[in-house]
Amino acid sequence: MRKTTIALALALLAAACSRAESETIEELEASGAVPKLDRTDSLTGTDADQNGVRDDIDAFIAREYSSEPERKAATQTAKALQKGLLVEEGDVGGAKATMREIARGIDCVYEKFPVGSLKSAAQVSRELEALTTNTKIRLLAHLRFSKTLDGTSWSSPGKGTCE
Amino acid sequence: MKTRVLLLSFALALSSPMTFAEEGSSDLCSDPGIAFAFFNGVQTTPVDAQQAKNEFIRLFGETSPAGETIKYEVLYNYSEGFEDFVETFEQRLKEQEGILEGRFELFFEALRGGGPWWDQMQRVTSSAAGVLVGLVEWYEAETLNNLTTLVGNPPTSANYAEHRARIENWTRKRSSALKAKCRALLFAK
Repeated sequence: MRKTTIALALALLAAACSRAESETIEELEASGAVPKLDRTDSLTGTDADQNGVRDDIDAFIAREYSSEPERKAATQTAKALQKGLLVEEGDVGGAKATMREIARGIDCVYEKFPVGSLKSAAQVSRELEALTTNTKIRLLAHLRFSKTLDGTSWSSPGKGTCE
Repeated sequence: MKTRVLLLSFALALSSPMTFAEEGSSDLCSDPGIAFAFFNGVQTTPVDAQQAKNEFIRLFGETSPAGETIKYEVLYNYSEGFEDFVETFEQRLKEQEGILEGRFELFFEALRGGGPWWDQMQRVTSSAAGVLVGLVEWYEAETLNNLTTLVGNPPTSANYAEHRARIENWTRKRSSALKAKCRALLFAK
């Protein structure tokens, strides 16, 4: 009887801690320490302003990157990454065309986030990729896009890739 | 360091087969100078590869000490089975009362062994650290398995015809091809 009571108490404690921690993650989201993201079932999510970037990613870019050129570079990259989710598996031509846009976007990020920036260009491109692939179907679509590019190559667009 | 890399590039240029047709067009085809060909590492995406290429540009610049133009190109290969990791990742996120369930934005950070968002999660949820450690250990073991499989069953030349065509094109144009095998420890933090 006593063992049962202790086990029950521990289970209740674990459940309470779990709830508390969940609430804390929500607080992290509210504070902006971690992004609060669209987790709808569609690949493209909600894009009310129809700029080709999910609204939650737009909000992240506006909050996280300090200057207008930085935000424009991030938006350009996010838009291209979003397009990548919609490339049909095996459409090598489509994937390569989209990859050229992504490459231009990332090159632009490297131009607008020089060494010494508050956030590194590498961190920015990683964040944008992670935000774009925040649900299972989006992540799998991104990996299908990657798989379609297997065996291909692309050159550096060079300077002047910002739109 | 740079000198050694350039020597490596020469070795590749001299030893490359010259039996493949030219594919596509690029200013790399007609412009003499140094071609820096970057082959991405295992379990990396095109975004990782493009980012790594840009880090190399920052390291080596776009002009050699001899004044030659250095042009950079990514030769991308996808690691078979990469997508299988997603299923296991999903299951791992459901552990510990499912506190992190559905947070696939943590996937790439987890593959790198952590990152700013994981740091935040660990700060407020004691169980997040355990989930991350479990993920990293599992990922390392699986990557090793995948590499072993790759060695036993390597891609065919048909898989990489475009890559070979690019390399042949550089050698034919007497460019130096500089091959860098990643995973970019050079610039990893």
